[in-house]
Parts: sequence; C-alpha cells; structure tokens
Amino acid sequence: MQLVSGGALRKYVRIAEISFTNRVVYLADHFASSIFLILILFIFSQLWKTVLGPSGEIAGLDSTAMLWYMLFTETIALSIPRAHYLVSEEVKSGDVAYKLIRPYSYILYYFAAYCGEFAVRAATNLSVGAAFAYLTMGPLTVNWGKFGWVLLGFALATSINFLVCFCVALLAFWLEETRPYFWILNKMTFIFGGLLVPVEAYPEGLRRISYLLPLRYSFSAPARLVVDFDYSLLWQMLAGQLVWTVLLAALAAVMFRKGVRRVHVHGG
Amino acid sequence: MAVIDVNGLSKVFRAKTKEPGLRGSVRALLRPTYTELGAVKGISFAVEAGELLAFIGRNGAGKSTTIKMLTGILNPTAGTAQVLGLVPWESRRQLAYTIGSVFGQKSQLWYHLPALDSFRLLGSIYEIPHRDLAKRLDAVVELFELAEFIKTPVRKLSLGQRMRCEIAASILHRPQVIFLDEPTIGLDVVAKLKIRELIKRLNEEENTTIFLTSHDAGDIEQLCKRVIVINHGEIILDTSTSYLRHNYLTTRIVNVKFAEPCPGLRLSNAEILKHTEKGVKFRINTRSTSIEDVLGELFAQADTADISVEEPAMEEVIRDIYRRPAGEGEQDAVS
Ligand SMILES: Nc1ncnc2c1ncn2[C@@H]1O[C@H](COP(=O)(O)OP(=O)(O)OP(=O)(O)O)[C@@H](O)[C@H]1O
Ligand SMILES: [Mg+2]
Repeated sequence: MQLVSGGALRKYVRIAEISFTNRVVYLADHFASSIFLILILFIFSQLWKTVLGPSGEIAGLDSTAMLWYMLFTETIALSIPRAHYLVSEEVKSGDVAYKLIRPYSYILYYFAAYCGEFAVRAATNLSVGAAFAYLTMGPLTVNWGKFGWVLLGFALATSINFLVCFCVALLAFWLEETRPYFWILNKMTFIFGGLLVPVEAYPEGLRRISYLLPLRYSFSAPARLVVDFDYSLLWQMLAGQLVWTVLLAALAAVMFRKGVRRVHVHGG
Repeated sequence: MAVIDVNGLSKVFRAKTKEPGLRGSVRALLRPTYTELGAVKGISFAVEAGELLAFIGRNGAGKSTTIKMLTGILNPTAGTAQVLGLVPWESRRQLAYTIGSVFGQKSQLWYHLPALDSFRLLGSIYEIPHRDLAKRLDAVVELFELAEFIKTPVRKLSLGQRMRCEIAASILHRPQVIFLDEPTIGLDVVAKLKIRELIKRLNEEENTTIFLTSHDAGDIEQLCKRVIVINHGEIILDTSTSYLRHNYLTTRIVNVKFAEPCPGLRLSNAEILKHTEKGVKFRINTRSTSIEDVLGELFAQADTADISVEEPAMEEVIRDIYRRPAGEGEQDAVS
C-alpha cells in the first residue's frame, strides 16, 4: 500500500460518492431487506419484555436498552456491503491485475466504495429499525454530549469490518472458494460480536475469547456505547479498535502484495 | 525516441497438469507436475509516436499476453520493454497517467450508472482538474458522438455504444499511447465502421499512438498503416499495410470475357478456374509468372472483350500468412 497525498484523496471521496449513488438506485431493495431487521427486533422485543420484565437487566441494560443495543449491532451487521464477494471474484479470475494499472490503490478503492455503500444500507436499516424500536419500546436516552466519541467508534468499527472482510476475500488468491470462510466469519460475528447480548454478559470463557478478537470492538462495544455511555468502555474500545485496525491493515497489505505477485507472474 | 520499445520480450506460463479422474487429482495435489507454455517468445519491435499499428495473429498467438505485459498487467519471463520511457511492470501506476487501455470484455464503466457518471469519476481518478475535465468531456462527447446516450445506464447500451463509451473512458486523461485489445469484437458492420472512424480520428486529431489487436481484416485494411503479425508467440511479419497488400499475397485472379468462344485455350503458367463459352477465369502467381506473359499468351489465342484483375482481399492475405510455417515470412518482412 502506498500513502495518499492530500490532492489524491479527492478521488477516493468521489469513489465513495459514486458507490453511494450506485446504491441509492437499489433503495427500495434495501428497505425490503430492513423487513428482516424488523422481524428480529419484534421477536426480541417480546422476548426481553417477558424475560426481563419492567426492572430486569442484562449486563446493566434493561429491556428497552437491550432492544436498542441490538438495533445498532444488527444495523452494522446487516449493512455490511457485499462488495467483498466482488473482490473474491476479481482475485480468483485475475481481474484484479487489470485494476492495478489504474492510478489508485486497490485497497483504498474498495474501502471508499465500501463506505459509500455502507452509508446507504446503514441509513435505511437504522431509520426503519429506529422507528420500530421507538414505537415498541419507547425512546432511547442518548448522551448527545458524548456523541462524537460514539461516531468515532462507529467509524473505526467500519474500517475493522471492512478489513476483516477484505482479508477473507483475499484468501481467494490461494483458495478456490471463499464462501465457507465468509460463513464462518458470519457465525463468529454472531457470537463474538455480541449481536444479541453484550459480550460483557457472556460466561467467563466466551468473554475472554471475544475480548481477543476484533469483532467485539466493531459490533458490541460501539453499540453498547450508544445505549450506555461509559468512559472506561470507550477507552478500552478505542484502544482495541486502533490495534486491530493497524494489525488488519498490515495483514491485508501483506496478503495483497503476496497474492498480486502471483497474478502478475501467472496471469489471470 | 520510440514510444514503445520492446526487446526480446518473452512470457512463459506454467500450468499445473492434472491427469483425469480421482487418482489424477490426488497425484496433482501431492506431486504437482507443470507444463510450460511459451506464449510470447522473444519478440522485439519499436513503435514511434503517432503510429497506428495493428498487432494481429490467430487465437492463442500471444497478442493479449503482449498487451498485458506492455500495460503492466503481467510480468514478463524475460526481455525488456519500455513504454514512454517507463518499464510497464515496474511503474504501473505512474504509467497509468499517460497510457490508456481497453480490453474487450473488461469494462471500466459502472454498470448501473450512466457513462457520464463513470467519466466524471475517472476524471477524479486521473486527477484531471475540474475545468479541464468539463472541456475534455465536451470534446470527447463530440468526437465519439455520445450525447444521445451518455445519460443512459451503461447496462442499457448496445455493445457498439458501450464500446464507444469504453474507448472514450480510456482517453479522458489524454493518454499518449492507447492499447486496444480487440475493440471491434462482436460488433456489427455499422458499429465496426463507427469505431474504426473514431480510432482514426483519435490518431489524426490528437496524434495518439494506437496499438490495437484484431481478428478483423477490415480493421487492418481501413485503419492501420503498419501491421505486426505474431504466430505461436513469434513475430513473423512486421511491415506496412500497403506493402502487405501489394507484395505479400502474390496470386491474382484474372477474369476474361471473350468476344468469341475459344474452346482450345491453353495457358502454360496459369491455373484455369472456370472456362465457358463466354469467358475464362484463371489464377496466376506473380512471383513466378508475370501477368504480361500470361496475357500475351491469352491474346495470341483468344479474341477478348474485357479483362479484369482481382487483387486478393486483405482477409485472404492474412489467411495466407497464417498458413505459412513459422519463419518463412521473415524473408519478406520489411519495415
Ligand atoms: N494465465 C495464463 N496461464 C496459462 N496460459 C495462458 C495464460 N494466459 C494465456 N495463456 C496461453 O498463452 C497463449 C497466448 O494467449 P493470448 O491470450 O496472448 O492469445 P491471443 O493472441 O490474445 O489470442 P486470442 O485471439 O484468442 O485473444 C495461449 O496459448 C493461452 O492459452
Ligand atoms: Mg486475446
């Protein structure tokens, strides 16, 4: 990977923009997929009401907070663009080499495209989901003074999720089929990302593992910060996010460089 | 200085071989064996600024492989090449700002968006200043006559319209050299003519050096001043199109209309294809026989009303070149 100069940055902003516009074409589809979000939110609103009652808590969250927590984790999970399948295809077919003769960084190109698409998906999921959560469980009390930190957390979470998917997609340099690995990633996200329940509520062993993986920092932690802001969690999250961003970016760069060398030698 | 300079460029592909069946699969996994395939074998040539050159050859001859090496998509196995003073596979991204490339099936347009959106994006990607881009877009839209469908999503364009947009997309940044891999493949006659016309204008009006591959004799005949023929990875001919036309395929077909039937006609150095009451059609090889001698022989025996000599079509010329064994063409090659 190469560093980006200020002037060159504009192209990535434009890529994000066009990817955003490209997705707006499918806005109706995105609203349709939000129906799935409503469905799970509905089921869990019933579940938390029954299990927790008016005063019960899980890891310090009452039933309303639990539902809003899930809205945010699921919004992140359901809004992850499908672009990595494209990366996989390009890598497998060797088309990636054709992209490398354009004056942009392949990784940043896809990161920009990812951000643009994520924004559209997240906006639809969040608006539909929030309306539903509001109607069934009532409003969420947000600590607006700390909202900047929360946004930073979400931004870093997005980079981590991108890098994780990108690295899995790059496996296509060496493997015939990457879908099984995406499937595994999906299941791991469900558990170690704490999609339903904050990982703090997990039994000791599971919690330990989730603390060692990036997924906690890109799903559970930022979602929890919105519903229950806490400085110690914030610092923990930011530290974890920064470490993982650096590690994953380095991993992606190394995998990419090694893989691309093969393509340059063996062709597509 | 030459804009493209190629010296002994070679590419050997190594492919895993696998025998059929499960046993073959297991063996391939445990002890892989490889076969080597020389796709390009030590080719050399130079292209000057402003040339319009056709790089032709049969399927699998090594055309695309050569273009891929010259654009930096593939690393060569041996040899050197410079495009605009840069080694393509070492300075891909730097070179990208000064060359353009179109690969028949690989689109650089966003499928669901109008071409105009892609053009604007490419403007940013190639870091073209805003005001320049607007002017450039106007010029390109006019040159390629895109106005009618530039706001239509690319997926709804015909192949010919899409190809026009592809080429337009590849020249926004005013490349000095453009590589076109089979730009007319799959197009109908009218669309082909259109593409040829604008490639020609691009070459003439912007003095862009054009390096194109094609299977279509028409592309070569109507477009290119120079042609390089590659066969089994070796250059078998590098010459001007007019030389090719006039000197390469040396058979001529002569059509003669008789004033009166001439049943006993004998021509010693011609192959008679058809002989009727009305006339005769024969083939001569100008390398061994002069047309005048044969015609003299004809006039001595027959009373002729009309004579026409057919030049072979470029397509036939090319077919003839391919048919020759490798190496034979080289004696004829003149640059
Ligand atoms: N990535 C690759 N791995 C192995 N062999 C390859 C690879 N790419 C091309 N080849 C082989 O190299 C030879 C030249 O291929 P190339 O694509 O350059 O031909 P071409 O002249 O462009 O043909 P066409 O007219 O069909 O496009 C062919 O025999 C092809 O099978
Ligand atoms: Mg080809």
